[in-house]
Amino acid sequence: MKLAQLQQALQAHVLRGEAGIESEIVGDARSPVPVRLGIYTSAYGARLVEVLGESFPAVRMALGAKFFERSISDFVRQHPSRFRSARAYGEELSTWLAAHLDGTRARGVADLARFEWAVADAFDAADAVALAPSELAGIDPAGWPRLQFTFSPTLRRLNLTSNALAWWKFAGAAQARPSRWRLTCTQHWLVWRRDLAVFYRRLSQAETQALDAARAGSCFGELCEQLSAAQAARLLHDWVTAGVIIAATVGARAGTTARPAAR
Amino acid sequence: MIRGFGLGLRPQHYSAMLDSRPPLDWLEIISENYLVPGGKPLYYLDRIRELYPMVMHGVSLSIGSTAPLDFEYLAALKALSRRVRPGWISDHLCWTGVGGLNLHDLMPLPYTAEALRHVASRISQVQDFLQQRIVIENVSSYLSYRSTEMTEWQFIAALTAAADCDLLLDVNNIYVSSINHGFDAREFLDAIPASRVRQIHLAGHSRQGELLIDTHDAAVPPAVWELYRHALQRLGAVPTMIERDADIPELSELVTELQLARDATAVGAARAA
Repeated sequence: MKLAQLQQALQAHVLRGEAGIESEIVGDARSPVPVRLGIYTSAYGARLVEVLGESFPAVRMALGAKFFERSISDFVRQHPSRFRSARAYGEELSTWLAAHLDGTRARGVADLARFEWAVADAFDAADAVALAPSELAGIDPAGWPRLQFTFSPTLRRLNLTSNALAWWKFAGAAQARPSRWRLTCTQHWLVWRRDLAVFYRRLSQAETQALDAARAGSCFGELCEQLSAAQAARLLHDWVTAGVIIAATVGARAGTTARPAAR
Repeated sequence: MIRGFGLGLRPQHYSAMLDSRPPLDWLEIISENYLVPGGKPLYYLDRIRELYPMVMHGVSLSIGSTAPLDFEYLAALKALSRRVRPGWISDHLCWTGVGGLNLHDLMPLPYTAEALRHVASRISQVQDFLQQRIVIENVSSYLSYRSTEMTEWQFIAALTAAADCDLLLDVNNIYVSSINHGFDAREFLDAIPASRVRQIHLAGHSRQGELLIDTHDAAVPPAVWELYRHALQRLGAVPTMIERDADIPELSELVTELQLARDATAVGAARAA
């Protein structure tokens, strides 16, 4: 068997248990061929289950270690890794959990997985220095309506429809075990990193719309139209204080009724 | 210049490394841990690099795969090496996947003339791209192929000559494979081209049935120390480190364990004199 065929056959065996490689492997009475192949087959599944357990510790705790291992083994079998780094494996887990678990728990666990993924993503996202309040204060008030913002590359926005955060806090030993999974109205969450610490907080409907608009390029004048000048100024103050904005530049766009910020 | 004794840098030891600044000559980093955009891994890497020389050790090169070389990965590796300024860059003599998939394991190669030509050609391409000689490590294996035409040590000796690459000799891997395949570990060591050996790995292993598994989850066992002492007789002092990837103890415990390697090297040098 040529090298390319050999590798394809061994990989097919490790991933799917396909026959065809056995006759190419040397076995002996002490360690016959199936035992030798089994080392690689079981190591593959165990390794990815372990990696997912490290990436999703709250999901693991919420489901219980045994159930997690059983269900995640199914995910691993159905999703061969296409990632160079095992750390990147698992992005599709939340969608899979939503489809393969039952009832309310499916949506809750999927939410929890998406939240954990966002936190992990923010953890080693690109570094950026937060905009200092003094830099904002130095901008000519006449330019404020046209002010556009660049947000931290660590920022992640997600919508949850369950009490997943209660389970997250339980996994971090910050809260008692929730009595059950519950569905909720849509909650908007922001995850970001400042320096080395990852933060998260819930957003109001108004802040969500303003933040999404600002991230899409809306200028401060447009945010003032969307909310009110005072409200927009308060949000901007919050974002700068939290370190989610890394730059503010006076652009060409302006709202029609924008006023300079009051603070 | 990398000389003396080192450890593999693991995230569990970041703070201890900065706080206690243990007496280590150098550190080995897992390249993939730092191929990230930012955050803690790169923050600690930069700070610890200010204290210790480093070498880079990868697990994703897949030098033996019949899939095309991943130049995106190589470009990232090159960028990291500009940041780290490592003594050298190493990876394993293995393949990790084909067809765009990754088994996240160090799969063994058949030791054939075909594989030798293939791997030597790919090492040359990688060395051209990175503009430096790379260092290739022997792996632990649990199976061998009927198509194999030569011993692992014959393959390695021929490969280093054909590709003009260097060697990272993993003494634990030699021991593990010698038990799993029934060969004489000393014969392996005695056939290695000594001038190519840039680094030595020491580690612990575990037993699964009749086979030994390269788990890096325990202290270096006596049999591996004995083989290391044999290697020293042949190779002289070679930069040596202990790898630990599971059940990772306090940093101070690994520093103490590394003293055994220093002692063995000192005894070897005294005998040679």
